[in-house]
Amino acid sequence: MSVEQHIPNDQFLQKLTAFYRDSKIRGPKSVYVTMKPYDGRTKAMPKGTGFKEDDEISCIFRAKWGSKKIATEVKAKEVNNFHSQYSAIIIAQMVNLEKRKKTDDDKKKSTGAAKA
Amino acid sequence: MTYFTSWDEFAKAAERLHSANPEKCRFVTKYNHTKGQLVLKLTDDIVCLQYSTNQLQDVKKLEKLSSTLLRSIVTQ
Repeated sequence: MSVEQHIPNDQFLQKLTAFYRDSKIRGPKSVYVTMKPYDGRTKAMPKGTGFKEDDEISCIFRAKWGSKKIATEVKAKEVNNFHSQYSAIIIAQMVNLEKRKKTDDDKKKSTGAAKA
Repeated sequence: MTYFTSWDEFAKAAERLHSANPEKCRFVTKYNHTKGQLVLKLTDDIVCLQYSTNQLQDVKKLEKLSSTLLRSIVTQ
């Protein structure tokens, strides 16, 4: 596996959209998105080493579709902006799910209301 | 590890696990368009929480949960 290059946030979101779009037309592969905290280090640390007190913690986003992988680092001050764009993408792309089914309770309620 | 059956339980457990061990936690969403399935997973490599759904309404809830988690990741 090659070393991941972090790409800028906007490029990441563009490619992520492409992943979701491509997954609809090209085969049954899943799209994975991972988020985890990141302290900015680029070298491996001994096992068990935690983040240092003064480290600025950002969030790393990784996405994978088939063998394609992308990653980006989201800085603390960009979180709100990034998340609003990210949620717009998932709402627009995760569409092949079932609409809400009426539970038994709802059915009772609606028939009850119809009678009354 | 088995899947949670209710969203509220999953969300509550996820936030609790994340606040207990924020450094190690990672949050994964897996979406399969062909199957119409969405799987969410939060783990700190000791405890693993999973939730699987095929309901459209859960995307909205995912948006909310991911926002909460994202914010607490950068403010830890």
